[in-house]
Amino acid sequence: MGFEKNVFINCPFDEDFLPLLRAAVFTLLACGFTPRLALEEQDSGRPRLDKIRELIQQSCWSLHDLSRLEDPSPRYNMPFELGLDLGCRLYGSGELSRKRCLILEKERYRYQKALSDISGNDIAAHHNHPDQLVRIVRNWLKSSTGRKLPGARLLWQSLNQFYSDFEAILTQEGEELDDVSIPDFIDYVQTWLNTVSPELPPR
Amino acid sequence: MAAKDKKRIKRQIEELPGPGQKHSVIHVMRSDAGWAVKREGAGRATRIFKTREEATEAAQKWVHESLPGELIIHHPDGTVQERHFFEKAKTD
Repeated sequence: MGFEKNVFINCPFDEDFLPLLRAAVFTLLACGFTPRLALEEQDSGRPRLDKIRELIQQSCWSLHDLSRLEDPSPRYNMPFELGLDLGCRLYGSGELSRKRCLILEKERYRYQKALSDISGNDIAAHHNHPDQLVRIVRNWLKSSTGRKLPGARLLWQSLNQFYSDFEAILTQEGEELDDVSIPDFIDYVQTWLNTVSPELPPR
Repeated sequence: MAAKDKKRIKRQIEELPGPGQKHSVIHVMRSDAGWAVKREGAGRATRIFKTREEATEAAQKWVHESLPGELIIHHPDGTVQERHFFEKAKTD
């Protein structure tokens, strides 16, 4: 898969975070990028760290969410994988030195208490709102790549329209959104974008 | 989910009506400035309200202007909270 289009997503995969993860995935796909997650390879006996290393190496872009650092059960995988990604850029050569990442937080400057070494990187607060996350990710991709991308408002409206189309189909099938795995969600969004999305420009 | 179910869902997505082929659909959704009312397929045209209640009231009036129509009220995360379908009144 293309290094220039791959975006490694390093975030929690729990139920609370799913609305944000789905919004990030939709935004990336609608902007012509390929979300890459550790979840995409579910049946492998390979150690997780091997998968993470490969995903980081294959992705020019990455999103790291640190918004769950202070939860009752803090996720230390996220800052660990952020460190691996930054290390890959710092010590890597060739295309790896072009890697860029966006660090996401719940509130602005909150990360500084726990992880002051990353000051100076692109950091933004989504306040746990998917619409804000859509705007942040889209604007970061726009400023990092200079590419013409759909506007944040259009992306958010399109995500809402996707949900209404998709949930109607799921209801007919007796399924629920929460039963849809993220790899399947990616597949369905891609199908919808390719065949239905009336207002988004072709990717 | 079984592979055949996934294929069926994908096929249903592919068979969704394209722009202009659907009845009128009005969405009430969160926006950066409050709550937006948007007609599906109507480009950038939206109306913004402070609360979801105000937006829903306006959307109900709007949907009745071109029946049959559908009103979809979204949760703040974009998923669907309510869906209402309105038929054209029958005339004798």
